[in-house]
Amino acid sequence: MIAKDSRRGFSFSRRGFLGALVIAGGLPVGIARAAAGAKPVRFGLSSFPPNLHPFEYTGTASLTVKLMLYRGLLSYAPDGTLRPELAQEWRQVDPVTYEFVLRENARFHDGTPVLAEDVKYSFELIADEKSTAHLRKDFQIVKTFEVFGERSLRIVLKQPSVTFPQVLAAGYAVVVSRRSAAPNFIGAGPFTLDNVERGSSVTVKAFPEFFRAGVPGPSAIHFIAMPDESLRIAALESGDVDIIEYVSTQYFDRLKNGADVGLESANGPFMYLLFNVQEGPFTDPRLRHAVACGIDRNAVNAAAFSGVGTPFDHLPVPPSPAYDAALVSERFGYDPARAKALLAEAGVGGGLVIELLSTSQYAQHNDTALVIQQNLAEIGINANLSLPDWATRVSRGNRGQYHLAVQGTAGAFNDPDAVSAYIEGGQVPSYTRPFGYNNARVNELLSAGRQEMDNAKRQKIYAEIDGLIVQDAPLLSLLWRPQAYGVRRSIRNFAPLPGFLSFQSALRLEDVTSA
Amino acid sequence: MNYVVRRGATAIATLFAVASLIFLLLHLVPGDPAEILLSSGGIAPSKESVEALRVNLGLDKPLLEQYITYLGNITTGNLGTSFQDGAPIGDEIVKRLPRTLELILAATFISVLVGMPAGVAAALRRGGVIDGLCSSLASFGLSVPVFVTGTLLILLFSQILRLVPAGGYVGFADNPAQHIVYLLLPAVSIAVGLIPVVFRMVRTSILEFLEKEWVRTARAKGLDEPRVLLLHVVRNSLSPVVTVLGLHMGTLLGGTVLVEYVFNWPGLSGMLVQAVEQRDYPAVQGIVLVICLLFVLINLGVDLLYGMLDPRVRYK
Repeated sequence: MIAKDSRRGFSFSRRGFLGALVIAGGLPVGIARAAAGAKPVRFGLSSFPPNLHPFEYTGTASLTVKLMLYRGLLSYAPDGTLRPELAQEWRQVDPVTYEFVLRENARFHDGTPVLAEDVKYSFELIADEKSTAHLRKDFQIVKTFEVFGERSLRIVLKQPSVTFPQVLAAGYAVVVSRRSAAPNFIGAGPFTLDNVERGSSVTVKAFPEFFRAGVPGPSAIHFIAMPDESLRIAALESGDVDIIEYVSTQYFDRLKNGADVGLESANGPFMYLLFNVQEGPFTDPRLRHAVACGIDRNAVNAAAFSGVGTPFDHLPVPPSPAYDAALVSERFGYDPARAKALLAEAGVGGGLVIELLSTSQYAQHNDTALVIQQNLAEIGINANLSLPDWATRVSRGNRGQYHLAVQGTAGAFNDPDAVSAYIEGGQVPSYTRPFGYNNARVNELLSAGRQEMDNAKRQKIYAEIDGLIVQDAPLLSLLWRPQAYGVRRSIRNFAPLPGFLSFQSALRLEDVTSA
Repeated sequence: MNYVVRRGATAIATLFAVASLIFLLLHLVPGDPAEILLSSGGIAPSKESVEALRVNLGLDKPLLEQYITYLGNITTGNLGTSFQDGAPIGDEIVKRLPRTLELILAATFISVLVGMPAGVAAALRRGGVIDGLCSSLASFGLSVPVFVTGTLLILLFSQILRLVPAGGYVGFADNPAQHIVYLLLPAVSIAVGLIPVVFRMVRTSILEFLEKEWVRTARAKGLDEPRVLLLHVVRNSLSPVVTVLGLHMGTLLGGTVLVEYVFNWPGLSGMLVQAVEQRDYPAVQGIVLVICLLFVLINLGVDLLYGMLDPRVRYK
């Protein structure tokens, strides 16, 4: 009620102001803002989606909008567990075979039914050799897509993969109509595309034939690109938008204590340090261990994340029955004296100069690098800080043009296998991976963990991987970073998905209602 | 006529130099557009995906071939398509340029509306209270960064008084009144920095002209003070003001970045920043070219206007 009253007051005073403007300038009467309690929801995006190609990765803001338009066979329930989406039911026939039966009432936005042939068409587009799809590599594990009924599909894998259903639940494994093609793919999401004001806003409206009863809640969602965070906060507080994404930790208290606004957050992304283990001083593992002992994670948390992050030093795996960090007892904790001893042992006790790469474009990366630089100075390592824009940072990271780098990201799904993206060798060099790292035993274990269905056995596998990563130290986990949304109190049923799934929290928008 | 031909040739040479320079600089800056496009959010794209996208975008071709294609396209008015979504750059510029121009014109209008009377009043009461107050405010306006002004205006008018939205945009055709409401804060933010420029130029100029012998002559002939001021002093003092304003307007074409960012005004400057961040080469090249073209045209316009205001400056 407070929010409603407040919004009324806001609306009235602005109308009054407009009235004065109209009288003064003889202008036609305009509408100040949407009426209070309106069904549409307004969402402040951190950036304008570069494009709405359903299979390509173009950022979280894009995914947020795309999840409104497209859906796949599976998706995630609010607690992060898998749920059937376009598939009404699915089962694993044997370790390499999955069968799906599509919903009778699932329809594309052009009114045609979603059939197994559409699924096959979509997945073949993703897996195509020349595809730029984000999940192209993940789909290479598929041996065949077999349609065995109008609404029945069988997927046979080349080898078992415990994470394949998670791949199918990702926001990029969506189904498009086989009667559509890029860039005008037709999806079967809860909303249809209504209007795009390039660089400014995207409006989607409810799809009345969406298969889930009573969904979507909002009659429309108006996504407004607001790159400036302070503007997003101001717009939320003044009632210009209902939900905003990417709230920095510095605003947490302000939103938590707001009368009309609140904060919804979940630990999702994580911050970490990467070593170039192929060139430069950190080819010597003793120096990597020295850095590991010299890093004060609590200081990083306090200075760069207002103390609301969760420091950790194990593999970056969200809570999972297949991983137990306690199984590894030997770790390199914060111990400056030991760090100095390791430096002396490596013959650089007199001082070491390194290149520390981060970016000034994102405050959390920038501030983390500053703390790390200070930590390293205290143990006798002089870090030259390189803080280019994000594009340059990505480019340098991909080419290994650093000794030590700050990075933050989130895995694809809440399973230990998500760490393969960061530590598995033989992949193309990337700014998200330690440059030059390739341990055959780690690779072997990752492959085994991916194919093992038993959680107890998987725990042992990932514990061994964890131990090897502690010894090799190609990367150092720093902390879990909250992925937070600012939400007006008039909005119901919105909360981020847990862990790495937080980037797919837009799935919850279909259930949102506005009081 | 020779003058016009010379200026035209210079303008074309300038545009060619800018087009070449921006092409070269963009390709020298680190950061592969294909990598950037596929690397958002800390995700590592596969080599195959990056290569496929590079081919799609034409980035796999030799640099010289790309340069020749680019020059050929711009001579026919084709600014290319965005790497981001394949949308024609020319269409996007046509849509966004008027918004930035509108912002600049509104800010200039406010600046003239406030700065000129203040400058005249301060000059006529030199050393007085009004002069002191206006000069102090002018120093303040000049020294406060535009993003601070913008943030303070949002805090006051949007969050505390709740009179206007924090930021955004609505097309004039969709809702004229709300369009103007959205325009107010960003225009005032820019004007806060521009008013002192107008104020100081007017004040200095009027003080200078008030000392001229022909002003004394006008008064001696019996002309009343308002006529002396308006017809002789103020009119003559406008020439340098127009010159300075013109130059500032040109600078603002690429300088409204922070204001567009803070107020979420979807103009050309915001598009330029986004395009640079994403290494969207065609967009950056197209926008810089258009800004350069406008800068050249504004300078030419200022020269001609200057000639109209001051009969001694006439180009044949």
